[in-house]
This record gives sequence, C-alpha cells and structure tokens, in this order.
Amino acid sequence: MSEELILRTENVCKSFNGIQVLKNVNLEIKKGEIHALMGENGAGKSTIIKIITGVYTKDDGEIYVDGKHVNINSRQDAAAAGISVIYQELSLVPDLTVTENIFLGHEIMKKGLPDRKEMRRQVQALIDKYGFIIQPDAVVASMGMAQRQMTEILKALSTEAKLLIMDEPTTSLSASETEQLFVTMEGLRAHGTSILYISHRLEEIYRVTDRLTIMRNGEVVGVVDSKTVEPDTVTTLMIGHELEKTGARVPNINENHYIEVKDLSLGNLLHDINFKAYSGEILGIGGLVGSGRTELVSCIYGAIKTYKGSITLDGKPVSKNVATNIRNGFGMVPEDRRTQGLFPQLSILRNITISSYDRLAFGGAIVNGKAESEHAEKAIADYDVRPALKKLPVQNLSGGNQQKVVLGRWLSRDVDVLILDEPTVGVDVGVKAELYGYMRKLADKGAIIIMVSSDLAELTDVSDRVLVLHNGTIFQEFRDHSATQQAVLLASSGVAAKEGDVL
Amino acid sequence: MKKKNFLSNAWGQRALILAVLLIIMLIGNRSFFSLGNLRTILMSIAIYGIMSCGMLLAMLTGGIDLAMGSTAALTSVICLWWYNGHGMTNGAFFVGLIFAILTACCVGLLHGVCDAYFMLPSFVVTLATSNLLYGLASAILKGSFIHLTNTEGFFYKIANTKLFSIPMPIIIFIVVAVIVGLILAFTVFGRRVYAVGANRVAAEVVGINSRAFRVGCYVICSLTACIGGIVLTSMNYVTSATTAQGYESMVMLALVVGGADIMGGYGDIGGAVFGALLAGLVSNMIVMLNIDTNYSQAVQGVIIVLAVAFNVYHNRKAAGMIAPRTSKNKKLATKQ
Amino acid sequence: MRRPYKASAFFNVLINLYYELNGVKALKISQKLTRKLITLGLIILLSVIFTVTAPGFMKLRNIQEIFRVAAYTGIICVGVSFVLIGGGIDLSSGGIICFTGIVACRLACMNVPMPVVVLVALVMGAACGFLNGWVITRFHLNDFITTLATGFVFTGFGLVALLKDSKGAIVSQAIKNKGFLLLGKHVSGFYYIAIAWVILVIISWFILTRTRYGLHVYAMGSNAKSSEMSGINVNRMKISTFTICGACCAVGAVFTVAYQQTAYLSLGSAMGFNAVAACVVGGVMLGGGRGDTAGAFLGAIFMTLVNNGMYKYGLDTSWQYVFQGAVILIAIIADAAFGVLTARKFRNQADAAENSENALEGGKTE
Repeated sequence: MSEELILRTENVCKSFNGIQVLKNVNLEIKKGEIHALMGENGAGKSTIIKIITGVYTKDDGEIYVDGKHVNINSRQDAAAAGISVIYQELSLVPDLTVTENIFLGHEIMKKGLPDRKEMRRQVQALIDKYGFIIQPDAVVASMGMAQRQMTEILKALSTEAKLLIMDEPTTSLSASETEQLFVTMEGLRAHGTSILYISHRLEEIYRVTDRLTIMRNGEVVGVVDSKTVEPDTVTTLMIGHELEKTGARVPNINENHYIEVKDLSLGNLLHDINFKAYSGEILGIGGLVGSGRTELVSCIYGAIKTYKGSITLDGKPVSKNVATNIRNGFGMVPEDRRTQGLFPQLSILRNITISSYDRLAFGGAIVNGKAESEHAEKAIADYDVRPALKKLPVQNLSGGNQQKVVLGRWLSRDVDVLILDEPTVGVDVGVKAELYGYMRKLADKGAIIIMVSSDLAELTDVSDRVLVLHNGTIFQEFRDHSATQQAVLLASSGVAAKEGDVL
Repeated sequence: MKKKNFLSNAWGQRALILAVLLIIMLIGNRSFFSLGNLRTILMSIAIYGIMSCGMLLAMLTGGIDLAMGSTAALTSVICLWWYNGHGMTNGAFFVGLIFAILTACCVGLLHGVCDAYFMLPSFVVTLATSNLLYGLASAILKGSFIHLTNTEGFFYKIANTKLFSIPMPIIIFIVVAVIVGLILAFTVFGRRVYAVGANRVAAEVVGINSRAFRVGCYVICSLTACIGGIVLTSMNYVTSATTAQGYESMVMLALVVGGADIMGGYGDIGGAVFGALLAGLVSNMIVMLNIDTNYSQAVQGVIIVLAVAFNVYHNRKAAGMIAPRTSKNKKLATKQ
Repeated sequence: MRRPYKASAFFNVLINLYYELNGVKALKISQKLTRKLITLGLIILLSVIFTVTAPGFMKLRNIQEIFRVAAYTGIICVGVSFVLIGGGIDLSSGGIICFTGIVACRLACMNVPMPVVVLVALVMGAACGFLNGWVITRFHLNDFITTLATGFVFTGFGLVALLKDSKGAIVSQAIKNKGFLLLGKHVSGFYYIAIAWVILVIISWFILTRTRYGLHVYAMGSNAKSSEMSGINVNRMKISTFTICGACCAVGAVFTVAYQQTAYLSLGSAMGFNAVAACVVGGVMLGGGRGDTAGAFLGAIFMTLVNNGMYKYGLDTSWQYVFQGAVILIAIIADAAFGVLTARKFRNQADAAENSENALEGGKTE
C-alpha cells in the first residue's frame, strides 16, 4: 500500500523567455512519506512547485495525482486535487482564532449563523487526531510561529489535502519550534498524509525525511534514500562537477589596514565572533539564512548597536552611528534591494548621490548641482546603468540595473569599507560578472570588502577567504581560495569537511 | 506604445485644468478677469499657499497635520494678545512673534514625536491637538475676539502694505514658496526629505535619521501655520480661536490636487502652489458666478475626488511597466 | 537591516515592569476584555471624581443628558466601527448627517408620516455610504482623502435640500410634525435616541461577533489579502461597511433633528473626525481587525463624560476643548502602549517572518 504514489510528474518542462528552466522533471512522491526536495538557488525547485500548485502552467508533461491524470491550471485546481501549500508568509488572518481561520470562507452554517460549536468540535477532532499542541480558540496573533504553521497545516487538512508542500518552513523557527514542527510532520505521516519538504538544511533532511530528490539546473539528478545517503553524495549531486577555478585572483593584502571583530555577541543570535577583514581582500561570509550573517554585518555597519564585544578599524573602535561610519568611508549594500536599498520613485541620480552629499554640497547643506550631476553621470557611465537616463525613476529599471545603482552609490564615493549582503540576488549572469569585476577593482584599490552570500559559486569564486557561520558562531574558515562549494555547503549545515580533504 | 503628448506632463495637465476654468469664466463672467479680482484671488490663496508649503513637507515624509488651523489660531492669538497687552509697540510685536514661533515649534515637536517615535496615527494625534490648541486659544481670549487696533505698527503693516503694488501677503506667500522650493530643490535637507518619504528603511541604511527628519518636517509645518495665522490676523485686523478654522482641509485639497500623495514620497512645490491657486480660483469663481458660497465646499469636495482619481489613474498607468506594488495588483498578477 | 523594534524608553520600562509583575499570565487574559476594562475603569474613575468634586453631576437629569448626547456620537460610532474594523476609515459621516438630517426635516415639515421620513432618511444615508464605498473600491482611491472630500459633497447636497426663499436665502424651518417630534422625546427619562443607540449597539455587536458577515469584516480588516485568498469578496464587503455607516449616520441625524426640532447646515460638522476619535478611544483601532462596537459604546460615553464633567466644573467651553484634546491624546498613547504591551512578545517572531518573506519575494522577482 505504501508504495502507491500520491503524486507523479512525468517529463514536465517549462521555459521562461526561451530559457528552459525545467527539463523533463519526473518527481514521484509516495503515499505517507516525507519527501525532501533539494537543490541550489535556481535549480528549479520553486518552479516545479509552482507548476504543481497551479501558479504557473507547464509547457509540456503530465501530472498524476493518486494515479489519475489531472490538469492543474489554477490554485483552485490544485486544492481540488488535494494539494496544499503551507505558505512561508502564512495566509492566516492574525486577529481571528484558529477555528475561525480554518473555516474562513467556508464556515459551517446553522440557521443562518456560523455553527461555532460544530466548527470548534471539528477542529478539536483534527487537533486530537494529529496530536497538535494548539487551542482551537487561541487568537493567531498571540501564537508563536510554529503554532501558526500548525494552524496553516490544519487549514490545509480541513480541506482534505493529501499532499502538503512546505517550502523552507523552518527558517523563521527556533530550534525547539523546529522540533515541534517535525513531531507534527511525523504525526501527519502516521496518518497517511504525504509531505513535500523543501529545505537547504541537511540535518533536517536526515532528521525527518524518508526520500530525497535532488535537482540541478532544472533537472532531477538523483533520488536517494535520505536515511542512508552520505552528505558528500548529496552535495556532489547538488553542485555537480565542480569546475577547476581558473586564474584565482591573488589579493594584495595590506595587513596594516583591517577591521577586527573581537568577542562579538548579540543576544542569542551571535556568539563570540572573532575575525579580521583585511584591506585588499574580499571576505566572504557564508551560512544559512538565520545563521546570524546579516546581524553580524549590521553590527559592523553600526545599524545594530546592542552587541557585546568590540569592532575596530585599524585598532580604533568603529562608531555605532551609521552616518558617522559613512563619513568615515563605510558603505552597505543591504540584503533586500526593494525594501532596504532603493528609493523607488526617486530618480537614478538621487539614488546614487543620496549617500555622498558630504562631498556634493557646499558646507554640507546646499547641493552643488553641477557636482551632483557629474557624480551621478560618472557613476552611471562607470557602472554601465541602462538606460543611462539620470532622471528616470529607479523603479523602472531591471533588477540588475537597480543593483548597479545601489552598488554605484558606494563605489562612486570610493568607499574604504564596503559591506555587501546578498549582492547579486535577482541579477542575471552577465550583470553578476560585471558586479564582481567592480568589487575586485575596489579591493585592488585597497578597500576592505565583506560579502555575505547564499550563492555558493559567488562565495567560492569571488571571495578570497570565506567564513562560514552556523548557529551564530564561525563554524569554519577557508583561507586562500580553499573553499569549495561542497565544503561551504557542508559547513553551513554544521558538517566539517575533513582536514585536507580534496572534494 | 502611447506617444508622449502634452498631457503626459504634470504641467500640461495643470495648464489644461486652468484653461478649462478660464474658458468657463470667459463665458460666465468677464469681470473675473479684472485686475482687482485677480488681486482678490491672490489674497485669498496667499494664506492657503503659505500653509500648503509647510504641509507639503509633512506629507512628503508620510505625515499629515490636521491641527494647522488651530495652530494658526493659537499662535496669532498669542502674538496679538501680547502685542495689545504690552503697549502695541513694534518691540512687543517681535516678542509676541517669538512666543508664537516657540509655541509653533512645540506643537510641531509634539506631533513629530508622537508620529515618528511613538508611532501613533498622525491623523488622530493632530486631530486631538487641534482641539487642544483651539481650546487654549479660546481660553486665552475667554471665548471672545481680539482686535488689532494700532494701524501704525508693524503688525498692521504686514498685510496692509504693498511692495511694487503687490499686496504684502502675496509677497510673503511667494517668499515662503520660494524658500521651501529652494530647500526642496537645492539643499541636502530637501534631498533627504524625499529619501525619507520614498523609503524610510533605505534612508536609515544610507545614514539618514528618518525619525528626526519627520519631526523636523512637522516643526516646519507648524511654523508655516504660525506665519499664516499672523498674516491672516494682520489682514483681518482681528483674531480669535476660530481663525483659520478648517484651513487644513483646504490645504490638503491644494496638495492633493497638486499631485502630492498622503502616503509620502510624491509631491513638489509647484504642485502645492498650483493646488493653492486652483483652490483660490474655484472659490472665487463660485462667487463670481453668483453661486451660493456654501456650495464652494461641495465643489471643492468634488474636485478632490476627481483629482485623486486622476492621480491614481495616472500612477497606475505609469506603474504598468514596473513590478506591481499594491496588494490588489499582486493578486491579479498571481492569478494570471 | 531592520532595527530592533524601538518604542520609546518609557514604554519599554512600562512593558518590562508589566511582564515582571504578571509574567506570561497577563497575555492569557482576553485582550479584547482587558482593553474594555481599561476604558470602563477610566469611565468609573472619572465618574467618581466628578461625583465627588462637581456638584450636580450625579443627578438623574444630568445622567439622562449624558446618555442623550453620548447616543448621538455613539450611533455614528457604531457605523464608523464597521468601517474601521474592516480596515477603512470614513470621515464623511458629518456630511451624511447634514444631508439626511436636512432631508428628514424638510419631509417632516411637509407632514409626511414619521415612519416614511425615517425610511427615506435611512435609504439616503445608505446610498451615500454606498457611493463612498463604490468610488473607493472602483477607482482604488485612498479612503481618507475620498471620504473627507465626499463629506463636503454631502454637505453640499444638504444645502441643495434646504428650504430657500425666492432670493435663494436659507429659511430655517421649525418642525411641527407631532409624529416626527416624538423621536426627540423620552419615555420615563430614557430618551428614544439612547434606547435606539443601545439597541443598535446590541444588534451590531451580534452582527460583528456572531454572524458570518461580521467574521468576514474582521478578517478583511485584519488581513485583506488572506481574506481574499479564502474566497471573501473584499470589495463587496468594503462597500457594505460604508453603507452600514451611512445608514447609522441617518439614524443619528433623524433623532437629533427631532430633538432640536430643526435642521441646519452645520448639523454634524466635525462629527466625521470626532466619531473616529471616539472609536479609537474605545479601542477600535485604525488599520482594522481590532475592537468592537461595545468598545465604541464605551468610547462615546467616555468622550461625552469628559465634556460633561468639564461643563459641570463650570469650565468654559475653551477648557473643555483643551481637555478633550488632551484626553484623546492620552488615550491613544495609552492604547499604543497597551498594543505594544500585548504584541511585544511576538513582535520579534513576526518581524523574522516578515523579513524572510521579503527575502523570499526579493529573491524571486527576477
């Protein structure tokens, strides 16, 4: 019985603008199993899920649910077929109770009024059945993230979902909440519900899943038993044949100009971080989302002030005021361009010059229009922002050009310390190479560059040295271009690569 | 696809609106175009205009100040009360003026701190302070009026002299508009105000203390209310707690018609001046066309709705080529 | 890059104290109830102070008067609560009161029977509200600006409806229609308007908390996007809340006109803002999803009480305004502190979720 398939995709293909992102994807999920799906960013995981759930339509191929061929063209179709997604952003209404949320839009009515007792009874029955630890009358806003996810799962179950899809559900959960979620998942499995579980964390895959499908470049490259597979095998499958690094940059390190982080701790997010970042090198910081990477660089930049420990630049303490740091040559390309980096309705010119008025104004108050304009024009030309219209609102640019603007904002003022947090998210390959070129050039000029990234190729190829964070501590350091994607990936999950091991 | 035409420019649209109004007047009442009436119109919009310039700053950073009318009343009452009580000398006027300005600063500070630091809804806060300030003004005067009787003093002359045969209030309006315009266009402060309005978080990332800027804008807003109140007092030779009552609505009208967004980030001084101009024109037209003055508010209401709908329509059309931003668009996008 | 949430230091001290004193238990008390108990506590406190210090406050006549005045604001607040809970804002209630009040007055003067007058006023009020909702949802307008503007427009309608002489000057009319004037009277001390208010509060409370419609109003105000994903027609719901608000304004207007025996152009002026303020004081938060009409009931009483007490102290109206403003300010600061208090524990988690969501969206926008 357990060998029956709940979902089978057959040769599913999908292209965007002529670029094939899915090539003959065959995914098989058995009844009552927790099936993991792994792959690097851009491997096609989200695309196949969006096809299964009806957000995108496939170009070619077939989908079978429960052995029957189905056409999924909308979310409703997916729901009718018994497929539910547990959304990351959570689709719950915060001010309503668990019961109200679960039945929202399809309340059970009695004499024209919602039958609260009956709905509550049904929810309680579901809770009891799966052994969840939530109250049917609890208001969602007052619950923790794990409990909200349980509510979300219950909502899916109340519509008779046979397959639940969870897309990195643990990124916003604490360790104990993650464990709660796993117990919940095991309860679901015991009752025959299948789960498709997407995660970057190897330890979670081992902890909770039965089988594992690995995707790379839009193809399924392996289906393995996740209880017995070696971590190395998984990472090799994910990354594929690692290209020999050609012409690794020899950084011109100046040991007398550096940022030193000493015994840095921040709440329970960061513990005893110690490292130095030297002038002339690009220091990569790897690790999973939530490992404390962003917090670490925010501390250095002065945006987080409540840390313990010391951060010094050439022995002198770094200010905890962002404005002061910027005047002293700091710059920051934040993680999320849209919400933290850009002023969407302002022009390219304004977006570039906003950080440089200490130089572009008379007495720091009156804008020097000519200098401002020249500064922006030079940046637009230097960093090849297209279209090169300085008056154009930056919201009309493509992602790559927007990122050039954010980077140009700092590069154009010759920053001394540049902090980059995910500098190439949503940027196409050509522009990526350009951005890396600008970063290297800046490093050669003697700047200190600290780059946080989730992109393994970026970390291993662009940075000269890589620090990998795991649960708020530095797990491993890779010097002199010794980092391989596989080793970084393992270190991110808390698995140390063997000494001297060439992978 | 669509050709760039005359109307895709904000000033093109404004010119069209003005042209339509003028044609209506050409048919309706020729005396509208007399020099005397033109001056009347300008006088009537001077106060709105002064206040619009201040409120523009508050709106650019995402705030709103519904206490402008009351602030104008209280500050003008304080100034005139001190003036009359201390010998009606020019010296007394300046001391009173300083008190008025200090009061306005305190009011702006209160609004700003409540909005930026306590994160309270600015609309309720300023509504509450509006009552409070009105009450204080009324309490100072014990509910009555206070007259400006010294026609020789500087206070009287503020509004009742002419420079190059232009009445002083208009000069003051132009000066305030030019100053605010220059601040917005040519100072670092102005650049940063727009940045804070466009994206507070991104502003913090580039080292701008966005909260302080929002407070600063509220203070400037209250200061222009103070200037408006004092000019109005000088113009009418009298003030009371009801001075400038309801002006904040007119000022909002002026700004919204001029293309400002109450969510912040959009708007410029040209729009504010145009809005004030239009508000004044329309109310004058209503008089000239022998329409009951009570209708003017209704007409203004219709104009606000039309202007907002027009702005939203244009913004949505312009946003067609960028990533959908509103939640409604998002839903549509995911459905497709 | 998001900074850790930083309310003022004052709030933080307050919150920490609160947690130390009560522990997690504090969170288990129903938020809604606690919020109302605070307002109720303030009302009782004020009443006690006024009873002791202001002679003539605790007289039957005065209590009746308080309820009559509070009922006027309160009825409007019932309607405004629907809009606020649904995540909108309606400032046009003053205009609707003016328009429907004047229409009712004109009809009553023509000796139209009372039920017909009331019905016509109700329909017109609802139509005005419907217009608000329709314009806002159809053209995707900002409800703050739109209702502010339509408020003016409705006042203009009122002006059109007023009786004028041959020269166009307004003629004030005194209503002599006995049947209609009955609405302004009281039965054994209870004004009809106060009775209507209490009935309306009970009905609306039932609708909001017990029916499917009410549930959907809360859902829409709390998170419009998820509500729509759950199959709720958000636009239709929004229009309906504005329509209810318009109808409530008509009810308030009819009773008030009957009590004052006439209608005039400044009828209902400033009510748009005051009703919203009273709702906020009563815990119906701006932004939607929180509060209920029982809270709005208390809010209306509280505001009236403050004014009445000031009056009884013999303070002139000026100081009443000052205190009214100060009280609203203090109430919303307290409300924000309370909101921070109960929400703080989960704020970090919510922030984390929001951040990861942003990161997710940012990563996929290519």
